[in-house]
Amino acid sequence: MSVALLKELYNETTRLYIAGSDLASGDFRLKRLIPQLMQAGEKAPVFKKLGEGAQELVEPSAEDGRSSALKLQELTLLLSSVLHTQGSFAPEGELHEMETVPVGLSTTKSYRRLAEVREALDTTGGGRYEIVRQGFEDGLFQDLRLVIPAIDALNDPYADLAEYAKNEMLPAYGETILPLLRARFNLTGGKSDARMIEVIAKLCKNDDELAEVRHAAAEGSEAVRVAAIPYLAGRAAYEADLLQWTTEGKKGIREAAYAALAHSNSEAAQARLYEAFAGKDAALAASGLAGLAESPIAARLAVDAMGLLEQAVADSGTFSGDSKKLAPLRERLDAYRDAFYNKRGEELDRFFHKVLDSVASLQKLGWTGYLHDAARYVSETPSITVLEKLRKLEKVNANFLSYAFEMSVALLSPAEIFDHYSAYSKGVYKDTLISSMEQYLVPSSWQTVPNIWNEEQDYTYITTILPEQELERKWDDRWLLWSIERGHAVLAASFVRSSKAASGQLEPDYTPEFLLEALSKSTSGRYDHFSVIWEGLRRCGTDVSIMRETMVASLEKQKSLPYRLDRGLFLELMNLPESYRERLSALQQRLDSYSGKQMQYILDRMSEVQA
Amino acid sequence: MHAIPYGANYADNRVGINALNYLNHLGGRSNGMVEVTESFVDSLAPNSAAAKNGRDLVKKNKLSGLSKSEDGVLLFGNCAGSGASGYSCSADFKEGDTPVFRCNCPSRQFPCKHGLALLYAYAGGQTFSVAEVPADLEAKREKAEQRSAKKAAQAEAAISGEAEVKPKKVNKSALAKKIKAQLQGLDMLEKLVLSLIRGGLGTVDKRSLAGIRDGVKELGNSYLPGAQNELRALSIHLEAALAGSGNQEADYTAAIEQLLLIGALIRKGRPYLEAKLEDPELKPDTETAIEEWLGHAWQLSELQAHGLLRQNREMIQLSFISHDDKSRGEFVDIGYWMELENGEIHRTFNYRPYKAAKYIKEEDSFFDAVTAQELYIYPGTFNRRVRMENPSFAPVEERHRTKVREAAEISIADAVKKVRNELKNPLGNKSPVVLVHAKSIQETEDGGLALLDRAGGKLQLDDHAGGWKSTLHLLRILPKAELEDAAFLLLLRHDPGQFRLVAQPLSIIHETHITRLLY
Repeated sequence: MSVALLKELYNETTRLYIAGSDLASGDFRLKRLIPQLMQAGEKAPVFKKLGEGAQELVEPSAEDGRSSALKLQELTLLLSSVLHTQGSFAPEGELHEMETVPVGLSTTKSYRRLAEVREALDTTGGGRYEIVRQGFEDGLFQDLRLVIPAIDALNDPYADLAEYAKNEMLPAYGETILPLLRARFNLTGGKSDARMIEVIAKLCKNDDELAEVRHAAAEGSEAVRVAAIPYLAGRAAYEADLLQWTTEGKKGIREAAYAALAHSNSEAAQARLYEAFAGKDAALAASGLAGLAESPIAARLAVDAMGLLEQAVADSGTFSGDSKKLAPLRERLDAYRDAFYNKRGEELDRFFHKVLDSVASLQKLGWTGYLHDAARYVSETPSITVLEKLRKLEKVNANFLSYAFEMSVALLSPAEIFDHYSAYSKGVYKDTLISSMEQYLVPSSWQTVPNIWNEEQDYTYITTILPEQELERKWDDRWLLWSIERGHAVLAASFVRSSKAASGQLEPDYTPEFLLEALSKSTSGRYDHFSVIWEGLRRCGTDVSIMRETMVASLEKQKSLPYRLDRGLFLELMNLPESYRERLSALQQRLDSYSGKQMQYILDRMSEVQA
Repeated sequence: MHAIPYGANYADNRVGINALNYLNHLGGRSNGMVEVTESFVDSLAPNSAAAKNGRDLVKKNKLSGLSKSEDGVLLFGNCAGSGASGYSCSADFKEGDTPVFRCNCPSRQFPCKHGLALLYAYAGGQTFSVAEVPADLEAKREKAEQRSAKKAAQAEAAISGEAEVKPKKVNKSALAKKIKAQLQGLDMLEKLVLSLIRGGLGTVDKRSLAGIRDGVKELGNSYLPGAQNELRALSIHLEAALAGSGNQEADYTAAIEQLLLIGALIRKGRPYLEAKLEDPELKPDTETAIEEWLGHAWQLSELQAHGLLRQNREMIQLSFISHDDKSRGEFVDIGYWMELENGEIHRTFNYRPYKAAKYIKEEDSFFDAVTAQELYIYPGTFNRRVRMENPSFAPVEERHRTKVREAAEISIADAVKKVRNELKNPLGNKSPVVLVHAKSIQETEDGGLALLDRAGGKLQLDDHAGGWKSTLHLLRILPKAELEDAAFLLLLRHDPGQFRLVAQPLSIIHETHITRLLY
């Protein structure tokens, strides 16, 4: 049977379907096939039938009432049936043994579990990361059918997902996946191949395999090389390569090479890093050193940095800080600053003390970053001499106040601290001082705590107050009046000592009234000030019924009530006696849905307590 | 995937196996009450999203008042929702191992996430304290008990032959009216299709496309859901060709195939309906699927009446696929099963219309052997649709797999012949599935793969185009031994553009295990 002729006929009928069967009459291309069909029809009757069908289309007879469309349909239906029995199924050419890369996984997971993860990996859009992560945690990726999608995830447009595949999913397969990665890895590829070489590098067991990483680091595209180079760090065999790559034209490569070299203690490696600080690569070498806790060349770098610093001090007389003349010097010094991050040593001590001694010049240049670095550095070794330097620094700008203040708290007596710092009674110095003090007296932080009213967890701002014992030991009583005069109720509340209040020695004696006023303003706040002021009043010995009345009255007075009841406020409302029920019910009507539910809980509890 | 001509109505939504019976099997019994495990609860969930939502409720501590009845067969509790008061949900094991869920939430999903959450909490070992059963719940349980007692009594009466089953009466005039409407529908369809062909597919524009869509709507009044789906499929292909964004040639090829199918449907359907109109008592055609092409939804009793019921059949699922059939507007879950007694490969269908997809249980791969007390076989020609009733379950053993392997075609030539015979029938199964024994898998010159039979026959393997998951590449990550002397489940299709028969492997059956390449 001539399949070629059938195919040709099929192509012609297809053409007529698209062009319209009305054009079939007299169609010469179809007509051309009729004799061949008829000839073949002598052997196989079906060809004859096809030929007749074509004939009727090309030369419609008057007595045949069928439309061209129907004729085309009938012809093609027969043709299609025949062709369906003729489709080729055997491969062409020789066969040979196939190569397989077995990964040793089974196919025991069900459609419902797998399909969700595959869908997440095959599509784009939100929520996919969580599904994939959950699937990985549930062990779904140990199914044969998810291995390839897991590798393809390295190329996911959502970077977090691609990184997750790189860091978790693929390494979990272990060595079995290496051949698959190798088969797919494209040395000159982009981001996904860079991630792939990282997975390969992580799974490498021996030096032979690492040679492959080295090859990628040497010959790959820039992205691949930058990804591969860090995995050669700390190995003597590849040091020569790393040294070589620090001289390359591409910045990313040089940076990766310097970072890798920083892990090597050999002289050549350290010498290259040191040299870099004299040239254009200072910043690149510095970022490699920044991540390490120590470096053999830190001391030498400190000595060089000292020289640059002296030059800056000398130049500060003639140039301003943003002068173009000083830009190269600034750039070099910045590199040293990065390199010194987290490191200590004698030379560094000298350098940073020199920085503190050059406050005026550096301040004039506006290079205050060095001053902060130095202040942080010397804060690690508190002493009176250091404190004096920090106090000088403090005079320059309120920004530096916290360093000296913290060291004062560590070294000085309560009276000494008060005598020095109470002088900062207004302006930005006062504000900075207060926020420094708050860190000690009323530290606050975001915390996850159980919600009492609905068993959920709540992420909220919690402020705690310094215990009275600590207060007595470290803080002068005169701060209370100072705080009240500054109008700072939260700080004032934290300075109240109950022993003083009990013996009638509270100074000033109007503290409770001041705090009650503050309490009534704090019920709508969101920073947990309410609980601090409440505690201050308790320490004052104020009658709790007055405090409760103030609290409820304050809520009642507010025109718009808070969306949510602050944790401290909520806890105190819970302690209210039954007599408040009506007032709380009235409040509940006015509250939002969230705070309304909180209040409902309080009301429900109230009846339980009573019962 | 090609649309399969079965009645698309919601009521006809036949699940392959009655899922709830599976519970007996999954949760082993202990102390009279089923042992509730997480996977047991998973299997109860209508879909994986519902299972996840249920688990999340437990994680978020939304449940409260976890209680059980004194005899331990009823679990109940409250679950917080978005409103002020929560929902009361319960799971009742009174009727054996199949829990009855009750919840006063408004969800149409059944069981709802609250009921599932209750069981997840139970499976997770949370404490359920003994408490008195609330009165309204107790009342519902009593009513249910009365209902099931009544049902049991009826069943007993039926067995003892007391209540005679009345033969269904046919309303002849209504039937004639329906057939006339169907014939008119076919006429309309033919007119529409022929005018389209006369004008040419190349001239189709937005207006003529709208005309076809109107035709789809009109067919909705003609009791021809099968034909309606095919016309909708045609409009989808033409729309794609008009948009010209994809492979226009392939879109036209698909549209022409679709036109041929509609033509065949009209040609076969019209005389069939005319004969039926003349003789209402005419026995329906149960050899081919023409009834379903025309939109008939077979009742199990009809199948039984026509001798399409087999008793006590052992079945094994060989593969599973779920896909989105846009022309039907439904998700379709298909299970490929082998009937071990005769080696026939059948299909189970589960239709989930888009609008109701959330509320219909999504089928899943099934790994155990099923013995169906009743196996209903639907009319059709190749891989016939089946439905299993009253199933029991057992782990798949080597003897099962041996039977499956023995049923595999030894010769590729024979298998291809059978498949071609089916494919040439325009109203046949366009995606037949066969099991073929492979001596080995080898690589072709152009890097493709081919299956070799013992006699040296060769069959090119490939992935199907159009939204199918690729399986071929998985052969390359299996150990070579897995690919030798194994039975391959293959899905074949004719590619009209390339004049090729494309065979995609779905599963591999070994003596020791089954490797599922699809699902």
